[in-house]
This record gives sequence, structure tokens and C-alpha cells, in this order.
Amino acid sequence: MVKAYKPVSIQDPLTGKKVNLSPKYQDDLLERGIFLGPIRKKKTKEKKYDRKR
Amino acid sequence: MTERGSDIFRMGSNYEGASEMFKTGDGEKESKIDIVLEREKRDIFSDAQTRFEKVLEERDMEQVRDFPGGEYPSLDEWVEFRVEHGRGTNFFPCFVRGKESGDISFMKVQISRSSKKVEALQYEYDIMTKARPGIGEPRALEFYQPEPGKENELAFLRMEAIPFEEGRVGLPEEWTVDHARDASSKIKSLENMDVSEEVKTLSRFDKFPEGVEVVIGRNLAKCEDNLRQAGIDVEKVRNIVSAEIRKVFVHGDFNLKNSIICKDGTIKEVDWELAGQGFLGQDAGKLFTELRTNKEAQQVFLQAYCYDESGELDEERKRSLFAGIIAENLTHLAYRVERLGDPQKVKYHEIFRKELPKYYQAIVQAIERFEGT
Repeated sequence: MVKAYKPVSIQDPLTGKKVNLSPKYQDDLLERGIFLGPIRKKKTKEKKYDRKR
Repeated sequence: MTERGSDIFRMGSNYEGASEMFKTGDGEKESKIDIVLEREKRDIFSDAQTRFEKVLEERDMEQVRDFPGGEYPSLDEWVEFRVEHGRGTNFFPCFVRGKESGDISFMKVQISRSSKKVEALQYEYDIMTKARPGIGEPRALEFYQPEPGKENELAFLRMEAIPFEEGRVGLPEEWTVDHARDASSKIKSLENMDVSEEVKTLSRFDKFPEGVEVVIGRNLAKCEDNLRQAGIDVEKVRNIVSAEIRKVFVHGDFNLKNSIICKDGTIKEVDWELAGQGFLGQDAGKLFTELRTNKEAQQVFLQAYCYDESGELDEERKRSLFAGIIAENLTHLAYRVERLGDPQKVKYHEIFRKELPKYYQAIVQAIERFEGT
């Protein structure tokens, strides 16, 4: 049998405490598009400065 | 067990099993299952994993499997997990990342041969982009349906992912009064929405083509004997639900599992596939019912919904809320009463009998509150 989810200990956004998320709850969150890691924002283009030679 | 059928308001899954939310361990599993047979029964493509990989490859994307401390399943692993736990497999939910941009978004991927499932994805995209509820829901980014000749691909709906650090799905007890007030405000905002003619012509838009009163009346008829036996005044119930109810835009499944409670006291609503034309009080009635074990949040919600900003009682909203609460509970009751009379559902009979009192109690309380407000 394939183990689909690992047990996860994570900081709860509402209480700030560490909580254990059951596989079923991880599945609930996944189903609703809630991502358990950081979502990287698209980097804005850096301005190019003219270099004086 | 989900409740479906023409007399059900297509309200989606019932919010139960709240106590499961933060438990460790694997939960209950079905006894040993033939996964191949189950996939066939559920009409899932045998090569869904390969098709999914092709979809990603063509878009220069990858599935996000890892997050700090944990791991998301592959498509095949997710199907196996869902089958083992008796859960639905309508769409494969996953997070994907653009290889170049690094941006993470959320995808609902078609895995079934059923064209109705693809239509549901298309409808959800149309509602989010054309009706545009604008109450803080995630943005829909893309809907894709394979063209003829690309049958080895899959349809999908891609949208903004919500970071867990913003909020999560919560138990009734975790809802604060701020969440309750925000939910009321957002439900009213939906009800006041002007919807374009283009949206009104979408095929799944009208949730009550027969008429709201007809569906509620039919559920009441199914439950009438049971209500009387429980000592409930059926005429009082009829009085609340039989008045003409205005049709409005609704989310259609405004339950706790579809509400992200955020740390800033607001809520975000997800899963818009049942949104469309419903009735005033429908969303409010469902949410109020689901908050039953949090009396404070319920009371704040009721006040916020039934009274306007100047403190005046909105009689129409008040009646509609209680009609919505009673209608919601009649839906659950009718579903169970029907199956209690079905010898083929005998394995559920004991569970259903134990559940009936809470719906009776909710209806009695709704009548008392309606008369007392």
C-alpha cells in the first residue's frame, strides 16, 4: 500500500501553536487549495541602473 | 456520506467528522480494496497519471510534492488514499509550479471519463470569472479543456493557492465573532449581486428550476409524520417556509469546510461549483446550522444578518434566514427519513435514527427564535 501523506507538525495560523495534521485533514486542506508551504511570489523585475564607466 | 438528489438543494457534502480535523494517525480505512476495480467503478482513466504528466510537461510546469515537513501524493497515490478512506474522487486536487516563474497555483484536474465532471469545472471557472463574487475568494486563473485530437490530455481548472499561514478550515468552536460577522456581510453581498444575463444563461445557474417552494414543500411532506411524532408544530414550520422567497445569487454550499477562517478575522470562501441562483437565506441558513455548537458565533451571525447597519430589523431577511435554517434541516431529515424506509440501506438505519433528534431540535429552536426575534 502506498502511503500518501506523511504525518505533519506545523504552526497553526490561528493559534500560533504547533499542531499535528492528520492525513485526512491534510487531504481536506489540499482539496480546498490550501498550501502547507510558502507560496513564492513572482519576483518583480529589478531595475537596471546605468553604470558610469 | 454525501447527500445528493433532486430534492436535495445540491448543498454538497454535509459537514461531519469535525473531530477528525486535528487527530494524528491515519483514521479509518475500508477493508482491503481492489484498487484497479475501484478505479473502473469510479470511471477513472487507467492512465490518468501519465495524462497529467503530459499536461504539465506541455505547460512547463511540475507538481509540487514537497513542503516543509511533509509531502503531497501523486495522482495515483491520491486516488488510492481516497478509495481506501471512502472519499470521493471527482477531481484530483494538486499544487503546481511554473518551472520558470516558480509561482505556485492550485489545480483541480479531471481524472474521470465523465463529461459532466468537465462541465462542472467549466461552470466553476465561469462563475468565478463572469459572476465574479468578489468576496475574497481565490482568483480563477485558467480553465483548459482538451481539443479534439488531444484526447490523451486532461481538463483542469487552475486557481490561486491559499497559503496555510493565512488561514484554514476550522471547527465551529474556532469561529470567532469576527468570522461570523464577516460571513454575514459576505453572504449579504452575494445576495445583493446583480448578475449579468450571460451568467444567468449558464446551464447550471438556476438551482431550483421547479421553484424553491416546491422543493421545500416536498421535503416537508416527506418529514411531516416524523415532525408530528417528535412533537413539532408542523403548521408553524409551514408558516415560515411557505411565504414567497426571493431568488438571489448564492454560493450554494456555504458550509464550514468551504470556509477558510483567516487569522485577520475574515473568511474566504472556496468551491464555487454549486453557486448560482438560489434563495434568500439559503447560504445563511446553512452556515447558521453548521455553527450549532458555537452559540456565541451563531448569535452574532444572526444579529448581523437580520439587522441592517442602522440597527433596524430586516423582516424579509429574518423570515428568509429561518426559512433557510428549516429548509437546510428538512433536507437532512428528508434524506434520512427516506433511507430509514429503505430496507437496502439497513446498515445506515441506526446511525440515521441517532441523528434525527439534532435536526428536530434545530427546527424547534428555529421556530422559537423566529417567534422571539
